[in-house]
Amino acid sequence: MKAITRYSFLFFIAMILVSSCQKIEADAVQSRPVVEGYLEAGHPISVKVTSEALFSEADTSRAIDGLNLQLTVDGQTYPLTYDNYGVYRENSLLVESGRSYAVQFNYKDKVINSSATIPGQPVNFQESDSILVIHRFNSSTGKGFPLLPSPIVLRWENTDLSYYLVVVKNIETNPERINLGVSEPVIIFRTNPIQTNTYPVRARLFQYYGRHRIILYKINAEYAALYQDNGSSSLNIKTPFTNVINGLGIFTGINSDTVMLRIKKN
Amino acid sequence: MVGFRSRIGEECIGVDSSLMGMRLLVSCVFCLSLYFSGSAQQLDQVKIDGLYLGTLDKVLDQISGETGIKFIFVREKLSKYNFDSRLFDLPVSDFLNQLGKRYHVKYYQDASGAVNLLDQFALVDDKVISARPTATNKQFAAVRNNLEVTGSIKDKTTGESLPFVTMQVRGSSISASANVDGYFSLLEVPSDTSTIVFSYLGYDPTVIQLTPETKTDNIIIEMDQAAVRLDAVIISSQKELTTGAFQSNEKVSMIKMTPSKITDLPNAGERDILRSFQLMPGVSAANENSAGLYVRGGTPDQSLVLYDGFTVYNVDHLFGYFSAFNYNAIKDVQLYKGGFESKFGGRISSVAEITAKEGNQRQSNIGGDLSLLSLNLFAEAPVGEKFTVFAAARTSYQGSLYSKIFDNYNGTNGATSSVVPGGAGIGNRFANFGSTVSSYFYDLNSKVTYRPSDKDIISWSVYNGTDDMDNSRKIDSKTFFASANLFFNTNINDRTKWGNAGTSMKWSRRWNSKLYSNTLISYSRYFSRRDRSNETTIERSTGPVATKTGILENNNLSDFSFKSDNEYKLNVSNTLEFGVMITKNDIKYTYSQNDTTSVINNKNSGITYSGYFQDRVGLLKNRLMVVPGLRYNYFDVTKSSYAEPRLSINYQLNKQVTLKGATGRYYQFAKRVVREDILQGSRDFWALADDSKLPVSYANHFIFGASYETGQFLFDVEAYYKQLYGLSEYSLRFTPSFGKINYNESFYQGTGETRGIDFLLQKKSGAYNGWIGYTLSQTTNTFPVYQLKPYLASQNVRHEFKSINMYTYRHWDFSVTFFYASGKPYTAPGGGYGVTLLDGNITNFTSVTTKNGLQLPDYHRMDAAITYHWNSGRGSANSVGLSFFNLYDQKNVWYKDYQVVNGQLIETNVYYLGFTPNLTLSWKLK
Repeated sequence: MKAITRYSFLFFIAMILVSSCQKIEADAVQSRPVVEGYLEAGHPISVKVTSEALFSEADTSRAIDGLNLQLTVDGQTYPLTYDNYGVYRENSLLVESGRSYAVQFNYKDKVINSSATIPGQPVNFQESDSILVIHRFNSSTGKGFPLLPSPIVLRWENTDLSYYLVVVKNIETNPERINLGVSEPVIIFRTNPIQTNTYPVRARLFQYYGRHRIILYKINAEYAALYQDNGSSSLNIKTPFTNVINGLGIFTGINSDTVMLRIKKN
Repeated sequence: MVGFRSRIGEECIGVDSSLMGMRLLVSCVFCLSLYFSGSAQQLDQVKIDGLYLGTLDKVLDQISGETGIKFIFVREKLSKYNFDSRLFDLPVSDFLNQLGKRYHVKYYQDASGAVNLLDQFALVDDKVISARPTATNKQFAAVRNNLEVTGSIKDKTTGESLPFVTMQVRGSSISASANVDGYFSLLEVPSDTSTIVFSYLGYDPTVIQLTPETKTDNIIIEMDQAAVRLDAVIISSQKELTTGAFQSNEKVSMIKMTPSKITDLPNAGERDILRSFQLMPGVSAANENSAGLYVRGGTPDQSLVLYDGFTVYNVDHLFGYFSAFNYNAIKDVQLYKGGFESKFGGRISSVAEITAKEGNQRQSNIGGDLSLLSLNLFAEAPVGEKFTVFAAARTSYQGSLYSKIFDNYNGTNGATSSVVPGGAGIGNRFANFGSTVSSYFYDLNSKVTYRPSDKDIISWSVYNGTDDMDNSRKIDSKTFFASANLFFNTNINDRTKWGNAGTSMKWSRRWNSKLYSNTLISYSRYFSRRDRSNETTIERSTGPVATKTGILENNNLSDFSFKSDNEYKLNVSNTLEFGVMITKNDIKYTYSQNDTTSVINNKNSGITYSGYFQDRVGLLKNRLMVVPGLRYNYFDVTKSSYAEPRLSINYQLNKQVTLKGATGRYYQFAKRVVREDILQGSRDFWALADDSKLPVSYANHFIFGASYETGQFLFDVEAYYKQLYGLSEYSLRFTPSFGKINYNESFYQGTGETRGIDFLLQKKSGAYNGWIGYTLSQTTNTFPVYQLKPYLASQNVRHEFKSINMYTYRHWDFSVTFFYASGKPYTAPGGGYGVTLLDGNITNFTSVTTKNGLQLPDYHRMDAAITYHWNSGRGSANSVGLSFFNLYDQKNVWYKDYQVVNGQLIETNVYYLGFTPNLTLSWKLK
């Protein structure tokens, strides 16, 4: 019996050792840098760095200056110069499509870095018409919307399910409202990221008469991922997407093409 | 003279058990002597004074003569004890208490005043059995040696076959177990005067004394249900079914349950087999929102649930509060917590094998339960001599308890959020409109069994269960648009409906004493439909036109299977098991944002071909059981083969101590994937692995343990380590408003690891019985998409303690259960930041803490139940039970809800169910 007791004891010790668990360390909560870098083909380079506002410290987000940002392209490294409001620039260097750019800096003993490839320009971007006629109306009278014209259909080539984003912006200085029932409608609207080769811009979305710039952005998957919602309860909450290692935000390449559209009263 | 036992509360006639004949019920140590004397007396007021000498039964006779008190006791037992004392004015109650301490007996005074003395501990005492004069042993000399004994085992009352009964030839290492149909073959029985003991959970062990005249081929063994209030063994590991000396068919990591015995345990509305398994260590109890099995760090979709041979793909009723299985329809359940045999495949964590009732072979009967949640009825009948029919139906009704659970899961008494979260379970939180809810669940079980000969059984089993949760709102007003001359009418649909249907046709045949086969074809279907949409009807002159906008989701799975399991006994210590299985799965999943735009339209089908072979070898006089096995699969989707070598070992060190271990490789081809959806709640869907985006999952199990068992106690410990590969998660990176999404991009792959140790200390019998269980474990996942380092899995529970206590007093059963579990890990918002998008707008993001880096408060809960049993005039067992769930109304946190308002984080706890009483009335005609 003593032997059994002794062996049992040794056995349990062995079992506990076998099942002993490695400690999973949780990182201490500390504010991370938020990077906003949109490298648009044909434009100079600018990268913005701000700080994350921690809930635990009733913090606010603010620009981070004094960083040593290094941009690397084709093995060449360029230091970015601090401008203002957290923005670092290199005005002499224009972004070229098809190339890969990397950014790196140190913050709170960590190396923050990210990289992105600049997509090619959208191909064969066209609109079905350059003029759209919408009669003025007032939706607050209870009559509802009038019958509106057919959408302006945008088309482009997309054989590989690339991501695109459409932004429509009125560029008049003092534009006239279409629907008098809406007091201060927005002058800009956009789609979510799409993977199609066509998009019908419905007449109802236009709020003002005059010239509109329709920009088709060709975007990378990392930018599309920003449109992901990240939950509101501990059952579904998840980290918002970032392609910045040891940081937050986005560092991505974009390319675009533009067509113009005029909205007329009659 | 004849002896029989009956339950407490019934009058017992007892005499001498020496001539009980071939069938000796071991528990007939309770054959009671009946003495007649005067009326009831207060035991503490009657005193005895004098010299009392002799065997204890004679002393009690003497006291009875002096005081007029009637004693009821086992003469046979008490006659073995000598008593020698001079007592001075001792109250009889004190005298009886002293007896209790000295001889381990207890007493109670029944309504007539008679004092009943009960032996509660030496229920199956080998010494008692061998001491009993067995006339047959003396009168007969063995004629045949090394013979085979074959037959089948049935319930004495109903004639139901009893599966997986263990048997052993007394005084030898020869043992066997019956198969799922109750057939058994015991080879190499030493002589035709051997004694065979049959043991089955929840039944009195049955002892068969062979004689040269005894038929040894196709004998029928009838076992009697244990009187639950004397020797309740409700759930136990396989080992402690057996009685001391003989070896059972115990298997590593297996738990066995008899559903009819769960009536005395607390419940929150339904008596539930899968919930009852959560009382055991290794099966987590801290998941009120899922009836699925979280076994040793595994998730419910990693557990294979077989109902009469077909796979059940979703086991939840009413948001997962109860399982889909009606306990009245189920005869036997075995849960393998890991390291399972080659016979089972297709899952990487655990296996629950459920055997449905065949129906009463003796007489027709009906019965049922009525609780505050549901009505549950069954009927069973023999049809002719060869058929039996069983049917059971259960349906919920919208009483107060139903509404309480529904509201708890719909958030009307939880947080303020209108967000629809959801775990892996199908039942997710609805947005609540304050509408009148119409919802229900039901299930139907039926089985027809045909026995064309004493070697064949053909059975047809059908299961159908559905949940319909409708929270829709109908808006009666119509809007008229004069400019367009149109009427608009809008309804808000919020409806989730899911269910399983399955059927199997099985043919079992015992070809001879060595070969048994079991052939099965089955069909199983699971569907889940979710309609969370606004339906707008426009009344035009040409008629109404309806359009839907919102979420429409549909998952349909079908499973056609053919299976053949065979068992060939080479000799008493070597049994070969082999079989084949072919499963064809068709799975469709569509997810649309309105009735025209399809976001995901996923259809896949595949066939899995499997074959297995294993050898159950007994070595060292069967003290060492080694079961090597190999399961081999070919999956036509990946066009690859998958080999699953497995091994389990049991070594009986001595009468009390058994060492056990198991290891193996386990593959899973059909997987349940959680699709995270923020606005409407996470939903899951089944999909087939394709080995590109959705890998075939597999696991390696390593289990090692030991058990120490005495007549009354079982101490069991098992350590386990599991490696998991090819785990999948699915997340839409963004929510497109239109267009096509390449959904394959949204699957993420990872690995996992679980290690832990389960402890069980059980008191197996007596008026007070129960167990405590403790599990120490850690489950981690590594999904590079979240972080490169391992993090705690969402189902991780570090410490889990359980205490199950049951006490029987006459017609009453009392039970109290207590659970304590470390809080589960979770992720919370850590901070906020804004990013300017391409259109110039700033989008605010909420950054989160390290994945699962925080821990919810610990979970604890106490439940209690009181059950009163009585027998009707026809002898049927009826009961009324009052159950209290969450007795002290602990507010256990289910999850946390967040809102960020003006840069401030508002955190709201959403709780599990609070104090919930329930009343259940159980009744049987016969």
